[in-house]
Amino acid sequence: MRALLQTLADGQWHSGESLAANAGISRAAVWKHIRRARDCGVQIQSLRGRGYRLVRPLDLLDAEVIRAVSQHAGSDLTVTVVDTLDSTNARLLEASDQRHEVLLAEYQTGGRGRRGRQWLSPYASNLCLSLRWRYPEMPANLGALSLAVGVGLVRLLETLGCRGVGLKWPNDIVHAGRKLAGILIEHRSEADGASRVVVGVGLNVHMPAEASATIDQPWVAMDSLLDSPSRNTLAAGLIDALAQVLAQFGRQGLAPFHADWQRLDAFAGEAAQVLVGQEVVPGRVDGVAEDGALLFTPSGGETRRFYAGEISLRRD
Amino acid sequence: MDIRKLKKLIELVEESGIAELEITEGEESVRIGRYPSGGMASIPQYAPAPPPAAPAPAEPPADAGKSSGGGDKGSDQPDGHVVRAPMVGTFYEAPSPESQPFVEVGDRVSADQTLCIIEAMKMLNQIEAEVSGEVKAVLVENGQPVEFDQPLFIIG
Repeated sequence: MRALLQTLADGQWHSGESLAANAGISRAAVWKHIRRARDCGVQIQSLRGRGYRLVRPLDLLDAEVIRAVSQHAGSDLTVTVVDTLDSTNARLLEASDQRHEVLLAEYQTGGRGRRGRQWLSPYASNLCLSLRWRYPEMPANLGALSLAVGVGLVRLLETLGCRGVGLKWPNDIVHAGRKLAGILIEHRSEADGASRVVVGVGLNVHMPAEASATIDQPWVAMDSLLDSPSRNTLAAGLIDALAQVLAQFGRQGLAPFHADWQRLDAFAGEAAQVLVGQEVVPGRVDGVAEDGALLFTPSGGETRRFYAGEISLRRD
Repeated sequence: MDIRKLKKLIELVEESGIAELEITEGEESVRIGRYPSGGMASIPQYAPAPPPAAPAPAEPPADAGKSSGGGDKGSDQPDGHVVRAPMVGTFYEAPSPESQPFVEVGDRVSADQTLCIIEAMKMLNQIEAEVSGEVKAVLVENGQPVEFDQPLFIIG
């Protein structure tokens, strides 16, 4: 499918014969690949006598380009791009390999968010990237890494020229109340006492409008905020940002990120509610503690620290 | 008093909204307390659940060493290795709400097998068995907050 899409990526018309010849496959196979690509969310026009054309040119990932642009990619941090797989996070978490590794996929069949929520992304439109990092010993207060990664991502977006991007505790990346990127971090201990951390990032880059019907929350993509760099350049920047955060967090914890988190807090001082388990607690968001906990003051009560739960703004 | 009974009692306390329940049954006695608004992973207000069993006169002292966490081993709790929470967070028995639990009482597990997930600040931490053996007890309900060092499983 990838060979076919590489030919089509220019957005021009290509006949079934020429596609078959280029990819070294039969006409029937071309038709099967086209159908599969459409199932993955690629919009392809077909016209008798002209062949096939992409509705929008594709900006395909290329591991070589990413490796060349990224400062951290190399023998200590391998970068792999795959076409489709279940979930980049799941692959890196399960693999017996322990090295630092980045895995990107054009399309995930089992993209995940928290607690079994799906993370949806049409083929080659956004970035789904996971990075596996190994700490020889579990860093103190590892949970706060969640916040540090959020800060690292927003700093990257700011250097690219994205304005008005903020954080929603613990690490949703939002722009004017709409989600721009999500982070899912998974951790397990190794038998030798080391910690394996897999940081998964879903960054909306060119979310096609027709995909919005399948997403159950307000979202925004980078291409509506700025003249977005290519996905390869973005991926390289993301890898460098994550590698820097993971290394620094291992040495210094949340401290170097805490002030920026407070600066970027999209909900600071807002009347909101926290959903914990089945319980809804109304109150006010009061920033984050040094250990990354949400500081929240329930109506008529004293400020408390939350380590779990979900905030939403109160619309009353 | 077996662990199922204790779990029932804890559920009863949680559902009823009462702050504390003390039950004496023969020579055994247990007191279950809850924090004021319940369900919150909030350090200052934490009261461990299940809390220490009230000392019963006829009982030998709790076997020190194994339960240094403070009386979390009830008198009838099975013997074995206690797997404790390495962090504050929310306990999940399965990888996603639709999936089967990682393990159930009676399952044989290997040392590196995942028993549960604790979510802390949106980080999903897989908790492993640490030792191989049989799952003798699951001490926490799915979706409940857990505290640092709280006993989660007994592997024997």
